[in-house]
Parts: sequence; structure tokens; C-alpha cells
Amino acid sequence: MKTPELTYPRLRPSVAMAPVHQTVDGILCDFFMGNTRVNRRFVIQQDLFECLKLLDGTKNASDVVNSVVGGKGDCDFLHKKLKSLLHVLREKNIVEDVKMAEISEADPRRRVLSFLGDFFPDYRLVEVQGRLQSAVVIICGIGGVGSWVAHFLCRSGVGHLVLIDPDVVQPSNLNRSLFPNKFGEKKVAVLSELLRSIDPHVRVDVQDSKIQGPNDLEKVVEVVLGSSIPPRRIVVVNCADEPNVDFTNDIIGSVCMPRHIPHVVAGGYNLHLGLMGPTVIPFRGPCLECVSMSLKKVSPDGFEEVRKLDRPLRKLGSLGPMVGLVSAFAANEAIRTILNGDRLQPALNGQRMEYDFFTGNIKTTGFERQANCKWCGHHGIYK
Amino acid sequence: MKTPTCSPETFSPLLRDGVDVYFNQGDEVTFVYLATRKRLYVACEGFLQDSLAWLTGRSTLTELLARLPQSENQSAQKKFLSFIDYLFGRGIVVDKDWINDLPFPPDYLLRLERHMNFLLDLCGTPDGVVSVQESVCSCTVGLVGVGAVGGWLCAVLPMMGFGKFILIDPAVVGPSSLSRHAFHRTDLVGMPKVQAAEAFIKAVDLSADVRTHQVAVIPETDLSLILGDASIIINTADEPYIGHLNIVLGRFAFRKGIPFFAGGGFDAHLGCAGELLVKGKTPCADCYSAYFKQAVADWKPVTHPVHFRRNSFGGLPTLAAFSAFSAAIALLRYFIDGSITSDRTELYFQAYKQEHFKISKRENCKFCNHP
Ligand SMILES: [Zn+2]
Ligand SMILES: [Zn+2]
Repeated sequence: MKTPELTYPRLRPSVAMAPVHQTVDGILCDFFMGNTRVNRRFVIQQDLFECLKLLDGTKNASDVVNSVVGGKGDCDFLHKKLKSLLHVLREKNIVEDVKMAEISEADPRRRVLSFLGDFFPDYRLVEVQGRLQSAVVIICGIGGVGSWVAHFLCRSGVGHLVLIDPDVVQPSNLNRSLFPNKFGEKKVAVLSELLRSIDPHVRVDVQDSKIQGPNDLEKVVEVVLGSSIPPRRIVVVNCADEPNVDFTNDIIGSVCMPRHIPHVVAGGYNLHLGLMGPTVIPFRGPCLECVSMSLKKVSPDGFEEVRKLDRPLRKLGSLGPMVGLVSAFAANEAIRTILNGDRLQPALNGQRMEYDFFTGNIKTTGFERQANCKWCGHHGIYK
Repeated sequence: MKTPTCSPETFSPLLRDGVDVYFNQGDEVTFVYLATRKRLYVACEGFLQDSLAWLTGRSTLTELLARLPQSENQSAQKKFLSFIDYLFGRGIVVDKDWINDLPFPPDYLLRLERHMNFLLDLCGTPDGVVSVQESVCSCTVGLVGVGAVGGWLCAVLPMMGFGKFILIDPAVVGPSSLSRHAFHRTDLVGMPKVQAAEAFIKAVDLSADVRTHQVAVIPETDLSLILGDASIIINTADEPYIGHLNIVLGRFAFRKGIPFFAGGGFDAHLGCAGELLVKGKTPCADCYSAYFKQAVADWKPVTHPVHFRRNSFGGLPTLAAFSAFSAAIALLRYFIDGSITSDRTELYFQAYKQEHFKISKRENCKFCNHP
């Protein structure tokens, strides 16, 4: 793709420019991206530094050069230097064209676009937004976590959601799920109506039966694939923990791995711990079976030799903001997976995270791909 | 409240879900409190060990006594009763209907069943749950700003059983609320945000007591008129300038002796967890502000060429929500045991790494040290 002309360049409003100190080659300069708090450093020649201070989007490059030089210096040379600097700074998401920015700023999701502008140059944002709009996220289970994930994705601009859940809304859901209080109605129906009231353009498909085995999910996935959506534009998010996450992970992995469909484990919660991840990009990093193999190798608490009381009917508690927090990361991962490429990648590929209620701290554990994995290893069945 | 010794015929012992049980060599049992990882070692005879599997809440204590292998044996019965009573005292065993016995209205308990289970695991005993939830229930939350962060607080605070709110925000719902505000729906565009937020709260808790003020907090605002009876103030407004507003509201809260939460989540603080400030326990808002002023004293950005920049900052709904959830969790933590993590934590989106800033009181701060 040819890069569109940078006609009216401006320093992105969310980027702060701060000179650090003078060097022999010019001014060492910080460009601090406010949205993501990432700092980039460049050495900028004095005359170019003066030019950057004028990038308000109302002048083109020659106007800027004229203002700086005032007819006294070599305008052509400075103009050339400025052009090539602007090209670099644009690729680093520091400078944008004001016309492109106006398109983003007129969009109801301008804040999302401006945020993504920390990762993608201005001229790619329309395409990036299109990728979110044309992506399909299949959410398995819309109880606690799933209802939040659907909300976040809809608000962020994911265009097509598939909700799977057999249950009806009950009063006891309201401590952690984002449903209106329409008790007795199917969760999928209530939630899809709500999502359409948030964004009338979002497409929501629903399935109100339970996923009991791979066949049930396969049918849903095949319908999506049949509408010629490529696998890399689909993300399956596991928000189902009945009877347990291992069971649902098994189903989701066995459907997604052979079809090369990325999948995100939303995790869940265990007492004071919020659990998040991993994200699986099939055959790039560990799969769910690799992670599960690695987990079996470590025994918690040094209790491996002793018998543990079996507790089949546990009814664990849940806390609204912990559920929301886990969901926020699952939604982040779904978005990053849709936009996966050289500029933005999922952060939990091969990683699991724990959020601790008592400290507010996040702990990350990394996993490796296993050569003898029965799914993705050398002799794996999906290899 | 039902206890094993007072009402064995109705008390159905339930081994609490937040405790794991391990059988060691000999006659020792280890109970692990999962929330705190604390362990309790108890020596007990084989038949008492076996009885742990019965504590599923399906039988009353009287029924269980009859099930003892030596049920005719008086001393075994006595031992079993005092074993259960001991576990009850340690928060390991509860009555299966403990939630229904809590002193809250039935519909409140129905809605907050899982929340109460969560609290039980953290507080250890039903009495502990009651004391935490009573402070939640009676707390009037003064929320200044129902925007990106405040909106998500209007979702989670009622979920946790908060039921009294004072909402303050001058703005109306606009089209770009779509990706910003938890309560946004297309049919609400044009409605005052405080009103949309009120409806959002009442969708969870119909009986919530919500007062709304569609005003901006400015230097002339008489805070005692609108926030006079707040039991806690949360600031999530970023206008006119978040730092300034934090100082004004923080001083007011310290004078009143109530907790103040300075929410994070704006512009260059997306994903900031915010901080809970309590007089006598943490530095004040002025100390925070002074700390950060000094931290960036050497960093002098040039005047930005673009003058009007308000609409150009970005964010994902998940990051504003993260700030709101962190705030709600910090509040509950404080209600549970008075603990406050008095540093500021910021989340970096790239790898979800956190950065912590340790902030302390300035020696001669007149707001921290004011009697
Ligand atoms: Zn594998
Ligand atoms: Zn102070």
C-alpha cells in the first residue's frame, strides 16, 4: 500500500515533546505517548526541533520551514530534511495528518481510535477499525465474565459477536453480570438486545443451548467459517466454567486447533485471585494442552504426597469488580488477537496472569510449547 | 445466629468452600485457608477425620450424630460435637443456611448470595461478613464525575451491595459516549449523565437511594451542600483539571474525616489504579500532588502546538473499567480490615506490567497534620 501524503502534519495531541539535553548532533528529545505512557527518544537537529514545535496541523511542511527560516536560510535543504523526519515520526505514531485525524475524531469511537493511534500510524486507522468491525468473536458462556466481555468488545467496535449460553437471567446473577433485571428470560436474548441498544450496527448471533462436546461448538464455528470469514479474523473466548474450565478448554482447543482459530481463556476467579489467560494463537506459542501439561508438573504447596479431601460441590463466591477485571483483560486479549501483527500482539500468548485482591498486584507465569504435546507437539494430532 | 451447640437439630454443618483439607501422616489434619494461605494443624482421631466428608450441609448435626459409628458411645458424640464447635469457631464450618440468617432483606441476600460467599472466604466467619457488609450498606458514596471511570463504578458498586449514591456531573450523554460510558445507549443521547447513571444503578438495585446534581464542581462550589452527608468521596472527574479537583475534594474529605478516593484513568493515567486517602493513615491529596510535581520537575515538555486537545486523548473501555474495578476493590479491602496500599499503581497496556510509586507524607504538611 502506498503511504498517503502527509499534507498538514501535526504533532499528535496526546504526544508530549520534551527536550532532554543538547548533544553534538542536536537535541535529545522525548516523545511521550500519553495514551500508553510509552516514551520514544530521538536526537533532533535544532532547526528541525523548531519546525516540530509548529506542527499544529494548519500549515504544510513548506509553511513550517518558511516560518522557521524566515527567508534567511536554505529552505529547500531544511524542507527535505523535515520531510524525511516527518516520515519517520509518522511511522512511530508521533506525527499525523490532520485530515486523517479529523476522520478519527468524528467517529463515535474516537477514543478507541486515538488509543490505537499509539500503535498504528494515522493512515492505517480506518483499516484497523475495519478489521475490528469485520471480526467475529464467539463468546462461550455469558454468565459473569462473558457478559462483561461482550460489553467491552461491542463498545470497542468489534462488529460481530456470537453468544452461547443456555441459562436464564436470575436475581443471583446481578452481583457480577451486566444484565438488565429481566428475570426468567434467556441470557443470550437479553444481552443481545442490550448490545444493539448500545450500537445498532453490531451483529449479534445467539445460541441458547449448552456446549456439551466439541460437536456443539463445531457447528457454530463452521457457520462462521462458511460465511467466508478467514480463521485469523475469528476469536473464541472461553468464559464457561461448567463443569470446570479444564473441560471447556478441552472442547474449545479441540475445535480451534485444527482450524487455526485463535482462542482466549478468560480465566475466572478462585477466591481472592482473578485468573486470566492464556491466549492461544495455534502453533505460535503453547496451546492449552501444553499449558495443562506444564501445570501438572508443578504441585502447589508441597502437598503432593498427602491425601486431599475431595469437594465435588463447591459453590465459590464471586465479587463484581473482580469478575469485571478478569473480563477486561479477556476483552483486551480478544482485541489484540484480532489486530495481531507487527505492531500489536496479544500479551498473554503463553502467559497466565493472577490478580490478587489483597494487594492489587498482577503476577504473570510464562509457559513454553511442549515438544511432546499431544495437540501441537512433534507427533501432535493437530500438527 | 445459629451455633452447633445451641441448635444441633437445625444446624447443618457445611465445610466452608474457601478451606482445603489435607490428611497428613498419623492423626493430623491440615486446614488451609485459601484466601490467606494460613494453615491450621489439628490432631484428631480417625472417625473425626472421616466425618469431614459428611460436612456438606445436607444433614443436621443431630442427624450426623446418629451416623457416628459408635453412636451409642457418649464420649464419641461429645468429641464430635466439640470438634464441630471448634471448626465453627475457627471459621472452617458454617451452617448451610448462614446467608439467610444474615440481617439483610431477603431480596438483598438473594442478589448478593455469591458476594456473601466471597466475603466469607475473606472474613472467615459470618459475623465478619455482617460487619463488612453493614458498612457497605450504610455507606453513602459521593461520586464526583460519572464519566469513563465513574460510569463503571455505577455498575460495580451496586453489584457489591452499595445502595446510597450522590452523583455529580454537569454533562449530558453524547454520541461518543458509546466507547466511554458504561451506561451509554443510543436512546439516552442528550440525557444528563447523572440521570443515565441513576437508571443504570437502579437496574441492579431498584431500591437504591440516588441523589443527582447536574453541576460541575468549581472553586465556588459549596461542597457541604452537595456532599455534606457523603460517607466517602470518590473523584473520577477530570474537569477542570483532575489534580486541582483532587486537592479541593481531598481537603474537604480530610476536614470531614471521611475517606477520599482519587480515581485514576485519565489521559496520561489510563489504567492507573487510583488511591484511597484516609486522614491519619495515608498522605493527603496535597502530598500526592506535591510528589508528582516534584517527580516531573525536570521534565519540561514544550508548549504543545495543538491548543485544543481535550477530544484527542484515547483509551479503551477496558482500561477505564480497570481503574474503576481497582477503586471498588480498594474500597472493599479497606472495609474488610482497614488496610490501604498507600502507593500508586499504574498499569502499562503493552505487557500488563504495573509500576508502583511509593508516596509519603511531607513532614510539615498542614493538611495531613491538621488536628
Ligand atoms: Zn501444545
Ligand atoms: Zn499531606
